[in-house]
Amino acid sequence: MFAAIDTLPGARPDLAEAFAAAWQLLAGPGARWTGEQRIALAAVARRAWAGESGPDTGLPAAAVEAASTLGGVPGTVRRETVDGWTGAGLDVVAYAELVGVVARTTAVDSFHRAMGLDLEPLPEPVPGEPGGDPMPEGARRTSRSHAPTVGPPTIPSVLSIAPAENEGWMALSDAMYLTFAEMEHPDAVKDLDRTHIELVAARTSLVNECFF
Amino acid sequence: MLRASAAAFQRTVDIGGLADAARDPGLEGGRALLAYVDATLDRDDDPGSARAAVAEALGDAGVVRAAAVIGNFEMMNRLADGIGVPVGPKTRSTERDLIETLGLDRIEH
Repeated sequence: MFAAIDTLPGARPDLAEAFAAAWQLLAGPGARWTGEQRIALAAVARRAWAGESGPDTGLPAAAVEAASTLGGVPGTVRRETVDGWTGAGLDVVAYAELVGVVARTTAVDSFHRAMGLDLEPLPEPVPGEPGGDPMPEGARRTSRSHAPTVGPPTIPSVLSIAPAENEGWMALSDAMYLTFAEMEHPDAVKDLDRTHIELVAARTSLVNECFF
Repeated sequence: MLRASAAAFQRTVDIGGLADAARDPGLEGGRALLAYVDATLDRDDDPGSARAAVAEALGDAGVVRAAAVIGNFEMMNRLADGIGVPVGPKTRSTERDLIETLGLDRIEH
């Protein structure tokens, strides 16, 4: 898995390891979705990024629409958009889990596109039932966020109602971008110096019409 | 963070170059990096030549890191947009010039 990454000149070993861990997390059951359903959501998002619809998943329509929108046109998501999905029966923890699945899949896929690599096949699902984890105590939705978080809706808490997903994106970000400790240093150097890194980050967000 | 980092390295970066391809951000390899991002995120484009330009300017490890950062922010943008991480009034105030330069007023998250 991800063997091509290790052959890239200049690639650190932790990148392929982080991608493999992301695929492992994707394949297993989550709080609300089975491994098979999570991989189906990833497939929908992957196709949406490329401007394609499908595949036929058997997933609820609201989940397919959410995965497709987040995969293809995330900048169009508004509070009302999410309300429409949850109002159609998509449980809000299931939605947060879906956001994590789509976001991490897109991260790995976009790296491959950037490097001119074939997309890594999605993993085989690991059997098992969703954990059914309850909504964490203290979670609430603010007047300007789309879904509840534990504490204010900030990036570190963004998927705090689906803790495994929150840990998943952080682990990936440590390898792809900077660790939280490295972020403290505006003069950090990690293959590129921080100014170059932030230039890439800012342009990516601007193209995606995201302020972050 | 871009401006803070530029200051830490005692550089001057033209933030307007982020939004206007005609403006040079004033950073070695900067234009190549911006073109690499654009080519990667354009589903109808092939980032091959842009990637080669980054490699020439910033080396092989620089290309891999740039690709990883693009992927990372593809992820972060979806997290912020999906859950709704609002831009607070303090940030809107302190980054007013940046918001105006880049035309970010229309963006909520």
